[in-house]
Amino acid sequence: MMTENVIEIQNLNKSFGKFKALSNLSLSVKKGEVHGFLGPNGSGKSTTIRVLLGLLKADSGAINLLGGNPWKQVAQLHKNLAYVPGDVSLWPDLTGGEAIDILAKLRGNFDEERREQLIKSFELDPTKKSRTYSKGNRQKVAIIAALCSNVDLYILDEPTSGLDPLMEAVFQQEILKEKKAGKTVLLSSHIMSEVEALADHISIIRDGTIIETGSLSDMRQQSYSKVSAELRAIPPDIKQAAGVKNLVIDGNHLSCSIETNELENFMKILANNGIKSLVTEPPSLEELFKKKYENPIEQ
Amino acid sequence: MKNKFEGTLVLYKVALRLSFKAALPWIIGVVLLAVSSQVAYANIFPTPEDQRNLAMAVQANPAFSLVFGNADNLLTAEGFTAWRTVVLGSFLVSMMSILIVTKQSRAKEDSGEEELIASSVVGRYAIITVAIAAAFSASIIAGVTVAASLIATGAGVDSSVALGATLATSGMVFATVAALCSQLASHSRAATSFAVTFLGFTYLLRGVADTVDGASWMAVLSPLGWAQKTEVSTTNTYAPLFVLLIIGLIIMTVAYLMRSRRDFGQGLIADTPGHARAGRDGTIQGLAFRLQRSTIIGWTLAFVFIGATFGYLLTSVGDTFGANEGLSKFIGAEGASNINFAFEFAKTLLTIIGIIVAAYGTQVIFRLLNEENSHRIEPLLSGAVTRRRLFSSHVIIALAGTFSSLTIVGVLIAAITHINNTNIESVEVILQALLTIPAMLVLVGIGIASAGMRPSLRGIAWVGIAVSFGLTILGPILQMDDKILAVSPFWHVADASASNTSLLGTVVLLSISLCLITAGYVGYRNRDIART
Ligand SMILES: Nc1ncnc2c1ncn2[C@@H]1O[C@H](COP(=O)(O)OP(=O)(O)OP(=O)(O)O)[C@@H](O)[C@H]1O
Ligand SMILES: [Mg+2]
Repeated sequence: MMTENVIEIQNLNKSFGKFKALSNLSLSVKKGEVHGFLGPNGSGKSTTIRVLLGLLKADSGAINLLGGNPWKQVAQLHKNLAYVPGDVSLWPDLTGGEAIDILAKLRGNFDEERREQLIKSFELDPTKKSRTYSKGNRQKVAIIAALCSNVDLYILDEPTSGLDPLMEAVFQQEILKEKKAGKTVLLSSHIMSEVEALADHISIIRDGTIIETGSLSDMRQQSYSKVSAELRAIPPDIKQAAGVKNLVIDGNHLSCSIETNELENFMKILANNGIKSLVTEPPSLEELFKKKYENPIEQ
Repeated sequence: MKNKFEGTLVLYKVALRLSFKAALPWIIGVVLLAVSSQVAYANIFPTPEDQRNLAMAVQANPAFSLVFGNADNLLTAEGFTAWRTVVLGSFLVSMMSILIVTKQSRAKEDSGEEELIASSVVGRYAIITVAIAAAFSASIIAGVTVAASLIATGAGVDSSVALGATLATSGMVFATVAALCSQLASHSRAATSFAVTFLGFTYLLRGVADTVDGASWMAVLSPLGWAQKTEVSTTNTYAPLFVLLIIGLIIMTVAYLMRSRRDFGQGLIADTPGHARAGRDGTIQGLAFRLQRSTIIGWTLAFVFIGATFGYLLTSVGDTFGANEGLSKFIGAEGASNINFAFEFAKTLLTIIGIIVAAYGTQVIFRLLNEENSHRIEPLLSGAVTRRRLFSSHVIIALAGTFSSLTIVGVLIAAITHINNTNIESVEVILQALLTIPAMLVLVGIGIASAGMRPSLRGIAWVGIAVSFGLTILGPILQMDDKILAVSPFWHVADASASNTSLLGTVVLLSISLCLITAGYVGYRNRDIART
């Protein structure tokens, strides 16, 4: 049976002893999308991913991964997915090159050319013993091992923690390549710029439950843009304009935050009052997520 | 100078608390060993005649000298306690010491935990000092506890204190050895195995000194040999302990000098680049083999060495039996021949080896749990590897490694005794080694079952090994009931020299092993993979 969704989780529960790590978590990831999986520390991202990988046994809930059951059809499903953990620990006595080979070969579909290309792009020295790698280099080993496998689904759990900005850019390029090729990616990350650059769809988890899910543009709609402008005169009813927050007026100068979907109307008001100068900052997801992380049940 | 030690005290308190948990089983073990001997003696050997018989029996069986050393004085309870505790107890306390030192120093350094500490206000020598101090403390606590509990049961104060001091000193010397190994090795596993190998070697060295004629001089090469020279309960001499402490001090100084020369997290032996491609290791079995390679090589060499040593031992012992007919008659109930005594001894040796082999198998299988704790299993299982395949890759090594080790020892003993024209049948020795395998397999099976089902209960596997050892080597002399002796799987091992051997025990042992291994597989299939 092949569903449209590559990952479909319904009402997943998982406890460690008395501690409830996941409660009634539901999540769906469509084929061909990069799905950002966000949430504060300890909210259950890695736990969800481990259940998807068949490492942890769900207490209850229905899980469909690539059309199969992740707990029962491990080997068969895993031929079609690759995983990068956030904290990569490698076999200390093996070199990076050996580790890549082992991890990739175990999966099967292994692309030699892609391996060489990735090692070059990520500037990894594959002859060093894993014990002597820096954190970022260990991370590269796991990323290369995952990306050189020809699979349909990538499950990435904070894959770039420890990469420098240059390597972060290489990583984003490579993921976009995979996306173009129609691959699906589940990306857990704390780096907002990375999520903004890559993700089509986003789910936010807090305390083991998904509190928000939607497309990146939906999220953008909810977020605020910053506006700072100098006008000929400040209209007296500007405070009442829809979606305005944190308004500060200083002579003929104003600055405020504005809900992204009210931006158009607000601009019209400004234009009618003679704009002398105007600076807008694009909507920041960072601000939005910070708020969601803090007050999940606010809305 | 002072600031190189800064922070030691604060860290020491933490280390002591953490080490206490690790030390407890060892301390309990030594106290039990000592107190049980003291208490049992009066009950089991009440009359002077019983005591003389005991002394004869012990002298007659070289396996006792090999494990416990020569008995100076079995006519008093204190002497009996000292004989049973000095060598074996020192071994246990030293083992504890080694594990504490490597755990408190290198293991933390490797995991990066220590880096957090090292980057705060602590001196360069703080960590090594804390590790040594924790091990010293644990050794002294072990010694004091043994002495106090012996005195509490009514043992003589002089010999109890001397025994406690001997145990504590042995522990302290090996703490310094472990500290030195921690500086040499490039990671904690290697540091532990260097130190433990050294301990095992010194144990065997004094075993040879105690059993082989003309080899007694070898005892001076072994710290445990020096520990024996205190002659607890006969002369209670403290001088050898001072010699040991001076040796310890020298080793410790070298360790500190090395520490000041070494980079954090590195050994003195630097890592070299390796292959860019995996080749043969690119399979799950290949990976398991690669991870276990040094363990396999180390143990196999050890067994070749042990097999050769025991072969020569058996040869020299065969002569002793021939020479002393009265003795032979005494231990071999109904008119048994010299050959039988020699074979009986061979059987005991093979049982001891079987138990050591079980420890090897258990260590191999628990490596899988180490990998799990280091988060190296998850990437494998997220590849197209089934849990059964992964579990098998280590079970196969445990089984193949243990089978071949026992066979190697059997063949070596057979060959050496054959070359030296002893009356022992080579075929029977080899057969006996093979018959020991099912009993060994039960112990390894417990390890496999616990690794698969409940890693938190893996300690049971070590308890099983310790209990089997205790029952095999002490059960008969303490005249324990057959029902208790039957708890040890080795009690059920068939006798290859008997004309009409029943293989029922062997079949039962094999069935139990099979159940345990199956339980391991089922458990591993159904549990969470997480830090255990
Ligand atoms: N094996 C375990 N036993 C007990 N508790 C666990 C176990 N694994 C995870 N937890 C707990 O479950 C909760 C969720 O952890 P998880 O690792 O999924 O968080 P996360 O969202 O990935 O956080 P981070 O962003 O820090 O990676 C945490 O409170 C954690 O302590
Ligand atoms: Mg996580």
